[in-house]
Amino acid sequence: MEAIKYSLLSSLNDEVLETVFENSIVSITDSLGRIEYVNNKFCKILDCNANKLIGETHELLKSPLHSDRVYKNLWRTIKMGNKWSGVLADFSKTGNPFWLDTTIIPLINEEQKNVKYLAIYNDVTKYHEKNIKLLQDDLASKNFLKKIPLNVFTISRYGKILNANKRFCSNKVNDLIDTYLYDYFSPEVFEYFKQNIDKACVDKLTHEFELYDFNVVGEKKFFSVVVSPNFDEIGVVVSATIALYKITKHNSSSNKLIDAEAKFRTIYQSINVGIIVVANDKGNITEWNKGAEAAFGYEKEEIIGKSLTVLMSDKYRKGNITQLKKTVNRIKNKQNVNAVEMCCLNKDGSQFPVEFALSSGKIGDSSFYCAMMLDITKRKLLENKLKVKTKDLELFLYRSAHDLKAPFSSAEGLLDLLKDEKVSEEKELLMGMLDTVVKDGKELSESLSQASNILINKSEIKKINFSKIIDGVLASLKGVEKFSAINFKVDVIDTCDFNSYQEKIKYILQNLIQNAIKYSTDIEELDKSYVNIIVRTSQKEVIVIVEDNGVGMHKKKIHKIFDLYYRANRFNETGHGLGLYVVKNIVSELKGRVSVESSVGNGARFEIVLPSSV
Amino acid sequence: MNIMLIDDNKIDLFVNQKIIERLSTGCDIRAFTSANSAINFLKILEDEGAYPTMFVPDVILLDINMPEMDGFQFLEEFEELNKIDKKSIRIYMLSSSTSPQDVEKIEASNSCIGLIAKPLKIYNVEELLEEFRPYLKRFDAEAEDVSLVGFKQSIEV
Repeated sequence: MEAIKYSLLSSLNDEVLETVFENSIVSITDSLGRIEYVNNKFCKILDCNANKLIGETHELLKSPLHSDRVYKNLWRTIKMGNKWSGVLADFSKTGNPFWLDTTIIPLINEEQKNVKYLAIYNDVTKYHEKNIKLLQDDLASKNFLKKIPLNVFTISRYGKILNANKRFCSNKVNDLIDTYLYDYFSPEVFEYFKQNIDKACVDKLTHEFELYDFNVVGEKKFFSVVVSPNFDEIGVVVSATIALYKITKHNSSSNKLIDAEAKFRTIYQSINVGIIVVANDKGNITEWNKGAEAAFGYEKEEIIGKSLTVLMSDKYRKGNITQLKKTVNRIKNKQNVNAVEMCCLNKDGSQFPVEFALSSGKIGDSSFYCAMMLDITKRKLLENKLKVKTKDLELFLYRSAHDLKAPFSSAEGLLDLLKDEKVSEEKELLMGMLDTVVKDGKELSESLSQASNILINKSEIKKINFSKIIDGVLASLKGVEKFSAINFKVDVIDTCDFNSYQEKIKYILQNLIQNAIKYSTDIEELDKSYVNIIVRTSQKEVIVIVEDNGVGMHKKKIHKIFDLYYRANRFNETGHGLGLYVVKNIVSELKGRVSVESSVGNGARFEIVLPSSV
Repeated sequence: MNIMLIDDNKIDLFVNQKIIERLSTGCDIRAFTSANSAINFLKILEDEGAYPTMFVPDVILLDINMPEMDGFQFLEEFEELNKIDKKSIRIYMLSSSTSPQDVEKIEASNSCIGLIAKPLKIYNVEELLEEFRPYLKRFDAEAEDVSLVGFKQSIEV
């Protein structure tokens, strides 16, 4: 006490000191912690008489409200002669808790060689209680935030989560912080989500929108989203608060819709045969399913938003794009779209063929395109194998038909020799029959080899000289029965060039003329027989007409004459039912058409129309 | 007239020979069963020089489809010969094949005159003889053709 007195200015007398003491809470303890002095206010707080306190150890300094560490720190500080300050708490003798902002000053008395501790207290119970209340309030609001069905985030402009109110997508709050909000949504909705958040940040207004997403099992989830921007002092948007509300309640009809959608989506996502890519009208990929992932090697996250052309092989890109454009135009004009074959590129850079079907739809104002691609590598392989096989077979047929002719020719030659030998009438009859059989066999192998020759030998497209071909055909038919008696009229006007396969045109003419001769009227009236061969060319097409006044055929049989191995005239056994079949095949290959007019006894008229450009 | 027949099929050779003999007995016919042996024969002819007594073909009837060397390969080899008077040798393809490809090849060929379809017919041989007449080097005394008589006389004069 004296020490304080000494240090006071002389102008401050005991009365002033008394006032200070009255208004503050003061205690003095000896070096062992026993109370030597307390003022009234101290007694009041402790609810206790000063007499009861003096000589006792200072309980305040080891209250159960504080941990031992605080006291150890306190004693260490003051024993070293330093001032200590901090908040101490205790209960009064009547059990009320109190908090004191305490400053302990060691007073060292050189004469008595002891230390006393002066403690000056400030009652902070009121503030402390307020604080506790505040903390409780805070906790309550925090709990409220956690309990509300909203997910509230504070995010940066770029979607980085700065804070979150509770777990989201089974991630703890701590794990959510510093990740990007967009990562918790499927890539398909990224664009839309980002646009809306940007809108709120740019407009600096709270913005509400709805969002849907699909969970792992393909179920559609709806979110109602509110974004409001947060500003700094000068009004710059620094972050945004975003509240997500998962809409789970729907009426039954939309529930059905959602179920259906989930079903379709699951199917769509899990299809791994058909490759489905949905692109928006800019040609960017917006959807990507498992099939596409397997075929192209890109994962959903990598590919969405990229251009569809990424999937196309460099070499064929130009062609593919023109083809795509064509298809898109066809779609726009509401025309039918056929599947097209294209060469695509996977992530490793290897190419594979796909069949590609494009369809379009419209949602609101924006149209989208759905590309269904089917990996046809296997089919292509098979196709190629089949082509090779077919070619082999065709060649086999040609070789056999061709080689078969040689023995028939030899037999025919031998028969010719035999005819000059003198034989009995009976043998002559047999020889005649043998002759017919051999000639028939030769003719069959001839028409077979001709037909197969058309199949295997693909010559280049040349300008067709019809007159020359017809002359050649007539010359080759000179040896045929009835030929010399028939009046041929050839009328060719080919002012416009016509380009095609020489052999095929020749085959058509050869067969039609051959048939016209074969089915001309019987020998008696042969001198009246005619065969007209008419050719007319135009820019667009060429018309070839072969007409005769021969035996003709029954109307009912006309549609059958182009069938394989069909013979209209049974009594005349020279036909093999091959020629017209091949003619029809050639005509359809050249994208032309053939028509026949005929009735019994009135001859036949064959008209073939071939387009100029194939 | 000297006729060389080349065909791997012996029956065809026989038939052809018989048909020609039937029409004209004065023809000297040599038959070869392979294009190889025929071309070798011609080569020997070349080396030894053409003696009037030797067989020099006026007409060659050539089969197309033959093993080892086919008709067209024979033509190639034939065109390489240089001492022999190639222009005086008339080559006809004699084949059962009448495929457009073969016809085209024959049209494009320098040394081959035409294609005769098998089997060889009497009228084919008649045509051959008729076409050959202006090229006759040695007169065939036994020829029955009347028009040849005047020709014979003019030579003798």
